[in-house]
Amino acid sequence: MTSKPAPQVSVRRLLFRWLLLPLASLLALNVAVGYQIALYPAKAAYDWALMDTALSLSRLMAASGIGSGIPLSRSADILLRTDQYDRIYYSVHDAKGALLAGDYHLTPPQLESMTAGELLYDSVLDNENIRVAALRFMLHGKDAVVQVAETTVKRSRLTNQILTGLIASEMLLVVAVIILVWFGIGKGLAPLERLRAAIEARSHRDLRPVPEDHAPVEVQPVVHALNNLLGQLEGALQSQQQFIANAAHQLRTPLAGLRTQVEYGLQQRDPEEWHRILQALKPATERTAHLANQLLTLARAEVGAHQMSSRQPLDLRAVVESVAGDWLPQTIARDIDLGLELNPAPVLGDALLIGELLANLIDNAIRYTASGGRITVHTRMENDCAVLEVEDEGAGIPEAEREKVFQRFHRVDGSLGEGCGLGLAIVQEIAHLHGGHAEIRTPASGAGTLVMVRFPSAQENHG
Amino acid sequence: MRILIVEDDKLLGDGLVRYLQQAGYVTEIATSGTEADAVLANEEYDLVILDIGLPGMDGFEVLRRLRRRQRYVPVLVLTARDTLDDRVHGLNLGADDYLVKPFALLELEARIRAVVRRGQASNGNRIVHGPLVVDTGARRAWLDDIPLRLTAREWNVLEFLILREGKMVSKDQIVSAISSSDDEISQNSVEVHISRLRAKLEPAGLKIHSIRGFGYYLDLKASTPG
Repeated sequence: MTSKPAPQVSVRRLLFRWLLLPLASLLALNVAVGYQIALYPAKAAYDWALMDTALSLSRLMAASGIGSGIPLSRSADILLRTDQYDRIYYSVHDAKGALLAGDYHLTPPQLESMTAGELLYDSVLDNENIRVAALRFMLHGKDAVVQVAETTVKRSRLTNQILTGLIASEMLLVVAVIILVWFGIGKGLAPLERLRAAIEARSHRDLRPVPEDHAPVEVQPVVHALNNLLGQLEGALQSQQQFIANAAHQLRTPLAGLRTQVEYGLQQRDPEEWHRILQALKPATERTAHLANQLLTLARAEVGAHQMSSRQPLDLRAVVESVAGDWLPQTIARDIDLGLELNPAPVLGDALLIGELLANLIDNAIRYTASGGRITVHTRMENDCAVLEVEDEGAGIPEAEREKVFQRFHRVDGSLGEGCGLGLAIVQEIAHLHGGHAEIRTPASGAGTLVMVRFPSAQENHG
Repeated sequence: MRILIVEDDKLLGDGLVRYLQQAGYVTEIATSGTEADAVLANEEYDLVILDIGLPGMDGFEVLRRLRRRQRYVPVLVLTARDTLDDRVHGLNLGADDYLVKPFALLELEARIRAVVRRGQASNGNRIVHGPLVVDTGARRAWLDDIPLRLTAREWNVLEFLILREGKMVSKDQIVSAISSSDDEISQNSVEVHISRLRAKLEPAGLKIHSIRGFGYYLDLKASTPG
């Protein structure tokens, strides 16, 4: 109905969006956390090694008397400074900041800041980042500070290696997840695809239910609903078949009668006989015409169920005024007193169909009312319903028959063999089409038939 | 009165011609839209009975072309199609009335008279209704050739009924049709006028029927074509 096409929904795309976007953020978070977790112990290990070197140096100094004039041996110096990646600096200062050994440009930390005895910190030397381990110790009975520093080449290498490794493995994971999700969704949707193929392979006449047990649990409600619809269709189709069978009978019988009379008439030579035959043909043709109209009205009411567009605000009173006149020649001929007691009764409806509904009611009333009788049509509002009533003084319809008379081709036992049994079915069909309902009642006078049709009022929509 | 019947169904066309001829009309028949169009371009008729479902040019097209010519001819459309759209389409094209197949011949005759009468009345012509002759131009009426003595209001009511012959007329419609701003008329006085009219018309077999709770209906049966 809407002019804008609805956006296509793809389950695969939906799942991808909902799985992969959060997954990607989670993986990014994982890289960050993993990086921190892996980096900390590695850096701590380097720090401990650096501090160990500082400790070794302090022991060496204390044991060898270095610092009181004796320099560090060349071999010890080489040992201290040897590293595969980084340059090593070291220095030993006394409490006053005087250099006792090592590199002069390694500034000592304030002794007061070293309450813990040891300190690890980052610094810059000759425009290079360095990591420094400082240790406070007693040298020959005096406070001294040993510092060992190294450039950060291997630390950076370590950082890079951890990061590269983490990202590479996460990337691998992402690719694996994409592939798995893609195929997994495909696998998950396969039963749906099989269901589609199974439904598509059916002929349009095959209304058997789709097997529900093969469908995945998630799709079963859909299959169930589909089966309900198929069941309803099958029911509708069956009643239509039944209807066609009845209609065929109803149409062929009067035509057969007409044909028989005509053929018989052609064999006759007596004008009296011809006249008698023609007299018999007249009501038969009228009945056939009536039946054709009824069948067409029913068909139109059924089509009308799908076409809400023909519905417009109208007043039952106006419909009665425009249709009732067609029956005046008949009521006058039979000396029937027709009364119209019309009050406003606005509805939303198809004027032609409501006209047919009324025509059927008046037609029935005339059929079952004796000469000199009364027929009254009422329109009015009652309890927010627009009401249309046709009341006659005929024989009435027994309680037990009052539901059945609305069925197609149903005819009350012992009724005059005039109607085709469709009139009230049409009335009910059209009433239902408009959201209304028709029922048979006993008139206030106690005799005859009163058909009351209630429609939802259109009043609230217009004021 | 000359009627052109445009109908391709032989059985129906033949039946119409015979019935209407017997009823006193002069009839001609055309069995296709093209034939009807050609005939209508050259001849003059008082009424066209036009089927819609025709071979070749359909009835709607015949009607469209007819209405494009200057002279007015009343047109009564016959059709087996009876959806609202078809009716509206036909009336929009200028059809004067619409009859759905199958129909009773009495009904057809009544519609023919009504259509022709409306044309006559709008031209201020004489309307013949069985024994009743009404001259809407001169505002005079005759019953069995004897001038009918009517008061002004009775005349108004009679004219209103005659022009809506074959249709129900409500008391409200009559009230609003014959009332003027300085002369308000009640439903009761309409009833009085009607009963006086009945007393004058019924001896000649013309009946004004009552519709209980609603209004009146002028019977057609006593009338014959003019």
